[in-house]
Amino acid sequence: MWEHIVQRQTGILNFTAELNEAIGRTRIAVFGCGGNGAVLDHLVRTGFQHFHIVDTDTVEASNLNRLPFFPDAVGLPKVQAWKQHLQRINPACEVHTHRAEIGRHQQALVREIVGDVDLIALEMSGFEGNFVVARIAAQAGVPMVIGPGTANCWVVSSFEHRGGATLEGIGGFDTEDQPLEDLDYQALRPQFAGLHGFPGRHERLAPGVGAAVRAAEIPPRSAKIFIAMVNAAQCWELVKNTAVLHGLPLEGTQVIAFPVMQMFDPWRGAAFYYDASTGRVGIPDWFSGEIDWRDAPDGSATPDVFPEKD
Amino acid sequence: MPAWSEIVDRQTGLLSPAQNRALRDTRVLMLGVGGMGMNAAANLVRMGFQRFTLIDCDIVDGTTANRTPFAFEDTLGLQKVEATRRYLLAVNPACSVTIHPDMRFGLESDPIFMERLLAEHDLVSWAMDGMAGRLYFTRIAHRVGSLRAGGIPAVESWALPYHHCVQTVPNRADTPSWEACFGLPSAALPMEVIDAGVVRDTQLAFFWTLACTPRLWEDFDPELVERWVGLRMPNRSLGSAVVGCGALIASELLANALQVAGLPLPNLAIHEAPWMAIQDLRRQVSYELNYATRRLRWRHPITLELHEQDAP
Repeated sequence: MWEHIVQRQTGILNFTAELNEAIGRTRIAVFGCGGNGAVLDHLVRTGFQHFHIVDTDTVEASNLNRLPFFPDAVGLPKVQAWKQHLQRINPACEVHTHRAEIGRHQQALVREIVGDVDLIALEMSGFEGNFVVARIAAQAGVPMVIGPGTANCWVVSSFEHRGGATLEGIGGFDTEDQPLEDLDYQALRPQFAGLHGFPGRHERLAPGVGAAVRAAEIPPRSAKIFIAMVNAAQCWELVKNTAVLHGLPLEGTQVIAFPVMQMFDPWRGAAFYYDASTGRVGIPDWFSGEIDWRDAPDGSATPDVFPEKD
Repeated sequence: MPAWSEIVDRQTGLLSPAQNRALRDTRVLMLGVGGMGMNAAANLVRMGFQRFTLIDCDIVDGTTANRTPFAFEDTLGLQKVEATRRYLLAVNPACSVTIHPDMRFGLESDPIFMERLLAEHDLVSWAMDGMAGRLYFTRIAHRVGSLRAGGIPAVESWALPYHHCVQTVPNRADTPSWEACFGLPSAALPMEVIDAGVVRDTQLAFFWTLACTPRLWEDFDPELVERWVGLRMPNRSLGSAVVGCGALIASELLANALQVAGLPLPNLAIHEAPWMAIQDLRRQVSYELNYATRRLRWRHPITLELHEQDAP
């Protein structure tokens, strides 16, 4: 089945036989198997077949808008439903499931998983888990891709852990010397959200809905189309990282290295970049992709947009 | 069993309850449910669309493994319309799905049937191969749509490996036909004189028009281009890109469905032909291209100003 899956992509520039083989043996950990974790569906269709998947939730009927499951999956743990889905598409998939809520008390599990993979996809919506995985990934030097699902934008970036561009360093948390179990996550949260408060991120929610989501009164909003688009972009980012990891040439494109994040606004059809360390905005030339960096217009940043819990 | 209301639950707030109901009541005619069409359908049903008519006479075969929303073994050997129907009903049993598994479109097809079919639908997803069927459909859609106040929007999309392209042909009295949008020579010819020779020439002209998509050829291995142009191998496709394009089609259909219902969403653009919206995944840029005039435009992401220039 794997051969069938990669057959049609062979010959597209960058998708050499070597890259396909590298994809086939690259081990990926996906932390969080909800809407953004549905990048798994894209990964398996691109030929990835070694996974660690981590999530504590069960499938709810209201998840069927963004997970590729059928109603018979409702009530199953998400990790189990994903394992079935991945192995139905490619029976050779090796899937290690971890039903756990990631946080400060799960460091040993995170270390064990991170130690067994080549790449990480960080797909959780809660802050504490993301912070814990980001630090452990940086310590282990395992590249990590993020693609937080906003209701209306692509946001994709890779942590290559070179030159000290860590989440904690760039975010200015001043927490590097403190053990993960001692941190006050509630106090750090607004700063973390600020990293995602890029310009041009206009809310498209009905009045009051954004505030209700931020107050965790209702779950974050999501629509299938946006999730599918950001996940396609994340999958491509993971492919690029796979090429880099295996020393394969990557022509005419490059990894989007944090603190730079790529934004894409499918509603307006505009693509741009944001540097989380300087707050500058990069406008790509439509032809070459070269980026023209400039200061963001005043007042264009968006306040706390990061929900506490899905 | 999840009810329709649970499927749309999490998008409420992005869309209003009235907009959700408009999606539920929109009648979508899907011409072609291969990789693109079937993925578009999968996106639509998970956004609350519930009324579908599916047309395709192909069978699911082994080459679609990388891009069908179903697991491959479940659908191998089924008609594509049947596989898609099962998918839609599995997600939402309240769907009403009409299938036409034997319908082929060509110059000799019955235009009365197509006119009747179009009259019963609000919008069209166009994801079908073959130029004869394309000429047949686009001409009738333009004729029928010209008589309807809002036209009959038809959405089409291409997944050219790294270039994701989507547009709406509005099919209103005041908008150009599909052929005119691409500057195809056949646009000037009446239907009576279109024969197999014209179809072949039009197919070739269309191929070379698409081939002018900026930097498209750089995305292929050169040796592969030669074999592909010589038709010695099937199209290349990235599974993830096809799934992403399915979302693009669905997004464009969403914008049109809300427009048709009189409940448009502010800021959700309809990419109206002759402007084709293009996302270049490899260079990570986005722009619009007019294939007939070879003009190109792009929007500044912050100021939203439009810049226009000749395509290279």
